[in-house]
Amino acid sequence: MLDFLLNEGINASILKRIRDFREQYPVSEEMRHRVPQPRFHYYGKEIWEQALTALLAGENLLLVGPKATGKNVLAENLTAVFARPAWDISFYLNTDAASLIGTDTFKNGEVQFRRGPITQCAQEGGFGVLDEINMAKNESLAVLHATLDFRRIIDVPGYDRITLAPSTRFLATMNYGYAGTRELNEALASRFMVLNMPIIGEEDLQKLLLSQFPHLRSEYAQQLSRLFQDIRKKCDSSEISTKALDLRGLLSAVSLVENGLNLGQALEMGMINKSFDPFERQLVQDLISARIRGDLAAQDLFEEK
Amino acid sequence: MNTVSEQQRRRAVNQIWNAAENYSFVPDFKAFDEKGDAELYWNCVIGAVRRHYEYGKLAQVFASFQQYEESDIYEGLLWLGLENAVFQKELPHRPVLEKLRQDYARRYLKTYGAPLDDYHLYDCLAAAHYQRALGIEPQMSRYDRKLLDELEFSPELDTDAIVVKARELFSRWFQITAEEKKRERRFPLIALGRRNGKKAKGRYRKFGIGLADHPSHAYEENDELLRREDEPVTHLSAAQLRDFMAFKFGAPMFSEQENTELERKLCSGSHSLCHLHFTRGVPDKGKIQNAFEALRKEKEAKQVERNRSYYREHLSENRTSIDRLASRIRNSVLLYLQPSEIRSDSGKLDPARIWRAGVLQDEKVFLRTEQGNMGDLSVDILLDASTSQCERQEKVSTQGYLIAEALTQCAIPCRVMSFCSMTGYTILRVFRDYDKPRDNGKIFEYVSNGCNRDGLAIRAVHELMTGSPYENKILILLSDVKPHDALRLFSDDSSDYTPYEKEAGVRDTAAEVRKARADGIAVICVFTGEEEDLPNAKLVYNKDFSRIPSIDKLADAVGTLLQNQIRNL
Repeated sequence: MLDFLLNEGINASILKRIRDFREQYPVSEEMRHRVPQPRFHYYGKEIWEQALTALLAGENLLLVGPKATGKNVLAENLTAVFARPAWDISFYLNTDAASLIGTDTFKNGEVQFRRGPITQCAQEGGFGVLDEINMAKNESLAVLHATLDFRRIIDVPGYDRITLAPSTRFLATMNYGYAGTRELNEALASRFMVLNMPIIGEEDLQKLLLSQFPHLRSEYAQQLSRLFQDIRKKCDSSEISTKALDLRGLLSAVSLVENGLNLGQALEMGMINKSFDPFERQLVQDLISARIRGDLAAQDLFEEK
Repeated sequence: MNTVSEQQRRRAVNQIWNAAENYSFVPDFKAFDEKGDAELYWNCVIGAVRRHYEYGKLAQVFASFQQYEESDIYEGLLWLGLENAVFQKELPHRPVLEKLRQDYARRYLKTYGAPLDDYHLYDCLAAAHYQRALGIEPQMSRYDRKLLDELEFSPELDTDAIVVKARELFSRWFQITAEEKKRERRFPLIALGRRNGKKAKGRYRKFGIGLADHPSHAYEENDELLRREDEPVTHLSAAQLRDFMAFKFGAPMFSEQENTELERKLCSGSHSLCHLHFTRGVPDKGKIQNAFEALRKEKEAKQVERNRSYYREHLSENRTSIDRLASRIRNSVLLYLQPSEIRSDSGKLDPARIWRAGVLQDEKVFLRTEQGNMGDLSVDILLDASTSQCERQEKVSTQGYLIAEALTQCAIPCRVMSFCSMTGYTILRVFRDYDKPRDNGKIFEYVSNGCNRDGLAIRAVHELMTGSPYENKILILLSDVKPHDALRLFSDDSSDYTPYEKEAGVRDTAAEVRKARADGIAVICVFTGEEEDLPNAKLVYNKDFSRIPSIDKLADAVGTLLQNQIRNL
């Protein structure tokens, strides 16, 4: 990961401080399996530097951006760069204090405290990824206030007061801009440094495609990334919903071609069918047809290995 | 040619926008195939022309063709030329065009490539052009070949050069001025020495066709505004008047006795002397009495058609709005769910059950909070159907439909009504009832008519809602908050004549809204009127109204309003 950052041109002093951090907080053997091995790399020097600096300074990060901006990729990448065990916590409407901090349970004939992911993460000094933090009710997140701010503690009612291990950080992600999301309240937002995730540009997307599929012919990498911009444009002008704007789907489609489908079929599964409205599907199909031949197979798309 | 559906039209426009990488214009030319489906290749060409050239200048050339009878042929030829240039310009950017073009050329030649009995200039040149696209050198006369060579513009030319070339070419070959409009006609095609057949519409239009799909103006005839009907005093007897209402708006939905009962209850205070007519719009047996009525019925039918086509014209935006609104509603409903506690093997210890763990080995001695279901929620939508809404009937009906459809998707029962007043009657028309989710389409039957006695209408709906079986009720009004009725505000003092309009009307409406709120009905308003009436809306609805600047903002605005209400339930 560090070599990748070096290639991206990240400031050397930041890299040095990361190395120091890793030396200072080595991962224990039993936690090693929790350190992620990212499949995708996040591209974008500026964002990298902002995020790394904030984390080195002991801050928690909130990654904000619309769909397909790589929020989770960056979160995973950051955890890997700092080589910390990760706890992935998906927030949903009914997320409550018990599911985060922990709850009572019965074991060996007596009531015991079962640690929740936040508590575990805090004790092990890991990185907690709070995915879609705005999906939970703000009120139920109030228990995290003391954890996330300068106090760095978790006070479990009826149990002990836990102080966060010094290497603990929290990375929250939040999608906005589509209906159905709520805003984060001020109290919570003020406990994070907020990074606005930029929309992935054509060239970065090409880079991403080529890094995932090194044998992909560059002209197709270009067309696929342009196709993605075409779809985004149509979403922006609200002719279609964002369902088909699916970067994961695009990447998976290319890998399906690698495995034998033709590109038309693969994109149908990866992107078109994400929408369940026939007319919208047709519009997306048109976008694809105006970019890419459906009958392309692995030998057309990829160079000889 | 088959008729082109609204969807395919929309699809064609989308293809063009995509190729133009610009969504801010309304395309004039659109291409469709012989089945009436959007033709991807040509629409890409049309869009690409927009991207690579200054379309305004080209549009002038196209416009100049309009003065000639064979304008469609010239248009077709110019497009062939542009296609040649723009294809090569666009190819590096969009390699797939190569295949799309060949597919199209093959399709064209298969359908229209056979030699013809009589000579059609466009068919001949187009066939030759598409043969070239497939790498075949076509068989053709020297003249034709020369014309085609000149016509196939080179990609190096910029807009000005193409315009100059096109003008020169059309004037030399066809003796037409592709310049400013001149009424003077010359003999076309004389240089070719051949007859070109009368308007080769039949064939050429079939395929290239859609190319000549000019923007049509949605409303050809400008219906004069329905005049305001301020005639409270009529020569009709009470019974005749009731029959007239049934005839005009539809059979009453309550029996005469029920209706009298409702009137006694509701038409009191400032609404004394008023009458109510509740209807589902089911046609009554009455006959059309005179030509004026017949004309009005006809106009109403036209308006209904306009409402529908307005919705269809903005189909994809409307669908997006419905989706957005539905997910917002769904979300706030979820938020509202009431928690309940269930037994579980983890959670909060339940001291009363703890013995079971030791004695029965039952480890479910904890309580866990689960989100339960919310009380029943229903939404009533009331559309203001007075003449003051006349110019925005399409919009109001579409807005009503969008909200109803979004609620339907969330499985929230809703009822949609409209109201207007006439000759002392306030008419409430029910389009869709709580248990009739399939009736949303009827909302397009909304037609504006007469005055609006907002206070009485709200009072009546309030009464209907009180009788509904649901626990939580929301009422959404789509109104311009401009109460006006011919019948004055009733007062026992006969010397006090206050017309039902302006401030007095607004005050009366506000009072009814307050009463409904006091009764636990959440009342919100989607303001459809003009800037000048905004203060009225503020007065009546306090904060709970929203002005929709354009229909694409509807989902967000209504979503926020509803979210606030659901939160307060």
